[in-house]
Amino acid sequence: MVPSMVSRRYAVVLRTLPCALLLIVAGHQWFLVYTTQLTPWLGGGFGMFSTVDDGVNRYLRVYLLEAQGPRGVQIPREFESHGERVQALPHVSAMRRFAAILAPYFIAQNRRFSALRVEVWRTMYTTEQMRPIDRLIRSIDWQTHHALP
Amino acid sequence: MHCPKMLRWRTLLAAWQQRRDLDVLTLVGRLTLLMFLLHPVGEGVLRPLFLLLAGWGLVDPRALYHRMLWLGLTVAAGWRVLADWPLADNHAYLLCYWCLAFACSLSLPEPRRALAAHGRWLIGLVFLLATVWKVVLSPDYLDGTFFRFILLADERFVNLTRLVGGLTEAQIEMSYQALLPEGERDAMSGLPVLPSRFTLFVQVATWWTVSLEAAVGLCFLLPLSGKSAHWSHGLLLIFCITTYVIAPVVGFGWLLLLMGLAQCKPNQSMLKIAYLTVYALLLLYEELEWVKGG
Repeated sequence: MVPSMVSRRYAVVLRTLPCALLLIVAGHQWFLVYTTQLTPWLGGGFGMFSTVDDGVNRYLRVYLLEAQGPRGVQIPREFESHGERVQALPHVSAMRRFAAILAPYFIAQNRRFSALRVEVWRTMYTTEQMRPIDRLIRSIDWQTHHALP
Repeated sequence: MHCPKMLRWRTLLAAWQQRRDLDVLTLVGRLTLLMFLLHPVGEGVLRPLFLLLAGWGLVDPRALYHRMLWLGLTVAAGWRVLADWPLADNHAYLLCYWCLAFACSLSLPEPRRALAAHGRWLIGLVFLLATVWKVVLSPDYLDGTFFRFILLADERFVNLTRLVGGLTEAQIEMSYQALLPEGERDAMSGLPVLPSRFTLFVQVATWWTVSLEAAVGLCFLLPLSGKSAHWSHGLLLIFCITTYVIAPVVGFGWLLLLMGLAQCKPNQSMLKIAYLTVYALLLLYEELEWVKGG
């Protein structure tokens, strides 16, 4: 009796596992979209082709906070793929990690700055005129003393 | 009780039925593996791993029915999603679920029926989620903003916009410049006056897509039987024929077709041929200029 119960349960698991996994991942994607601003196109929730909030409409800005004020800098090419992940899922910890990777690069270039600011922006459009509206999603300041030994 | 002649006939009939069941399973399995060869996926060590596993399954008929092959593909597909997190496309996830569905089905007593059920539920859920995003969760789909933007700013759709929307090269370029994010955007340029043909195209594309997705989702999730079940297949085929002629995501289309094909009963030869034709058609679509974009 016990083996048949086990095999029946095993069969139920085998019959439901792929769809259960799909629903769990989709639920996780919804959670991330509403809590961390994950782009709806990604994350396995099948929100692709439903909104303009993706790819070209998300962008990063990086500033060095110098004594004279914030100075915008270009993200070096070698860090672009890391940047793409951050703009798709702008979680504070991911943004901090990104800043921690970028800061030594600019310090090595003898740039003097007290902090590095990372901003993630999104462009949305008005309905008829398609006028672009840029909105800041999240911003973090990463103090350079974290980089000191 | 039973005469030996009758028993012999029943045995033969059962063997024939089993053979026909295996035919559907073999066909779906082989086409899934072929997909890895036609459209290699993954980067680094994953790509040769996918090719190796798919090649092994195609060459060795025993491997095709071995759940370890499909578990291996599931792990590789899952690893691909995790390694690329969060940038993996949705069909990378679907590929993982489909390989897992195959592995699970081969561990069950009636693999063809089990795979058909997995295919049905996966299609239903994918289309349901896609519809919920478009109708309920997205702020800019139903008002046409999404299609207006993608047709004007996405380079992959430039040729379609010119052909169907009736925009000139200059209008497309002007629109593209006006829709770029701040910093890259030409501050002086605004959106040109767009032809009414383009506005109509946007409306049709918006409502056609969401209506068809909702219909496919419902048909596969509802317990339809007999002739009404044919609607499900018909709608899925129409979706694949009309969507992937525009959207350059052939891998997604193939997966949906394979899930639909898995639900064909062994005696539904015409339906199987229809799925195979559309599978081949998607391959041809890749050669179309407007699908390539630019």
